[in-house]
Amino acid sequence: MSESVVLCEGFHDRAFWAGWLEHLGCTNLGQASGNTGRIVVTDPSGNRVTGGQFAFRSASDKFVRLVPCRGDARRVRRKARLRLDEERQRFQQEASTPRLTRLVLNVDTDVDVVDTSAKTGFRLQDLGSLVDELDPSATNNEQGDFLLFDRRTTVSLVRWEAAGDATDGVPSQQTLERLVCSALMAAYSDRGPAVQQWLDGRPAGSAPGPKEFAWSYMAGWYAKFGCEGFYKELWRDDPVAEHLKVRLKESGAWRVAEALAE
Amino acid sequence: MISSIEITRFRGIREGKLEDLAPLTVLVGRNGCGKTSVLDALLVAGSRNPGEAIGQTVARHPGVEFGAPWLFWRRGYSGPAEVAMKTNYGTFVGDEIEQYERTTKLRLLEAPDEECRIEAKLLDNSDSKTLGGAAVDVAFSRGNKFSVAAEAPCLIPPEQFPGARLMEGRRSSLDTPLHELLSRARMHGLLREALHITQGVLPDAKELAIDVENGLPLVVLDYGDHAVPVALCGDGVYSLVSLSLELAAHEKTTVLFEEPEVHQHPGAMRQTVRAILAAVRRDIQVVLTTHSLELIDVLLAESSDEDLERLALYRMELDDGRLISARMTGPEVAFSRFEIENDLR
Repeated sequence: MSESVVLCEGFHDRAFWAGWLEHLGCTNLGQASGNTGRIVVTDPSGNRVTGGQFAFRSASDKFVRLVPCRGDARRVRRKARLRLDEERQRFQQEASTPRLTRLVLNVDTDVDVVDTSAKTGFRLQDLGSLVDELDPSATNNEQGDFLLFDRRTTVSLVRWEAAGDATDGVPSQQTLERLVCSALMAAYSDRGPAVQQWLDGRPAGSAPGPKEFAWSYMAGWYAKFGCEGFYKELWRDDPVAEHLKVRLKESGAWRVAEALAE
Repeated sequence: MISSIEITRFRGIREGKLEDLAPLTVLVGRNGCGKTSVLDALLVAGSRNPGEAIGQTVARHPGVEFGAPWLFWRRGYSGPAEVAMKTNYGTFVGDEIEQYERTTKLRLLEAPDEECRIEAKLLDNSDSKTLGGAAVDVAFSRGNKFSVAAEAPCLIPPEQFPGARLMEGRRSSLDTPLHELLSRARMHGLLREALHITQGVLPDAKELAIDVENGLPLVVLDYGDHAVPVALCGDGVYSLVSLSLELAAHEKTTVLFEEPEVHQHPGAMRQTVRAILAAVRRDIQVVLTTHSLELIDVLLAESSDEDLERLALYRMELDDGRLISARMTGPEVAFSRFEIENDLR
């Protein structure tokens, strides 16, 4: 009856997570082979997985749910609060097993690597405040995860981040797009300048944002997969996957995904 | 209004409680998670005639010749059953209404099999002080027929808590006759509202009326040029009419609905929800169970912000007989369903 849940902002984050979890050995339950009809996926409680959620089975047969939250970090936080509150009530009533063993909140911070004073995004201390509301006796492990309800539920924060200064072909805002463009640029160094040149050369084009960068790579080298497929397909491109791994390890996110997938 | 219920060794629940019940309380969860047991407990503890309610609770579950022992957790081998219930009510003190809370505890003592007798005691113990008590003897016989030997007086005055009533989504011989409900609805000036709810599904119906056939009262849907007995209508129409009359027939009561959506087309389900919301706005408390996400969606779609504030949803499960529940407020339900599209079943 237990499950792990990843709350991400939008469909592109969902696609990226889907490719990542598959890369780490999870089975996407919505894409089971040998079934040509409509696939109905159910969770450990027997309820259908609906509403844009994806479901995975980890290597050790754990259920992992991937939940997009309409592209809004505030909804990620609110949804996290609801899930944790439900678990809090179950814990207080001494339910023998947790329903939620691991919860991951995944957000863009939108911090600009050039102008770092503008935004902070949802930080670990913000998650700490949320956790404290629901379980004042929660503890931290060495990696910075929060352990709630007598250590039955682990809560982690994944912020899309890629270190480094402003570079041609890579947006400066800390987003999924920056992470992806940064890995693409590292794997294929000739593509970044080409993307930058194309973006700079657009007639009457406004300053490019993260999405303009990412879609330019998609249109240039991954168009046949479409917008969401692009984020998933990157994990099948070995050089890109390797550079994604480096960046995700640096930010601490890799460890979180590995724990989900094990 | 019933504000909480605590259940011990009653039907499928070994122990557990639901607190902060709302004017509109929705119970969801898998089959076998204790929803029906909670409704039974609310009926028994919340009825003004607990003896009758115990009989009704046994009789509404056919299929066992001697159903009374099954009122108890695992047939009563581990002790008596208890249901403690808190009710909130307001009383005029001069021109002001003061709010009170009262705890009623009902204890069912086990009895032998065939001529199963159950003694129920009502103990009203506000501030842990026993104010009174009474015994109810209910005799059961084969086929779950029952008779109440001596009815206990309800300790809470009717104007403070008119009691709980149960309705099922399917027809039941235990239902209050429709003509009685219609008469009461008319008495309360709410027959037009019940008709309006029905017209949402049957727009050509002109009146809900009582006809007489062979000297017996018969509720009919009057179409102007002909009339049709409601009892002959399909189950969906019947349940909609009886539900709308039931909600119009009583004031400030608690109505318990088991799966009101059964047999209903989505249009009828919407009318059912409208009848429920209208009743809740009139200070009737509704506790319902459902497996229908469609019903929840309609409920949210028809609810105003004020209606949402009156709503609570409990996701229930049983953990080795222990009732585990997670409560969500109305706005949280709306957020989960519409913003996140979470599956609430």
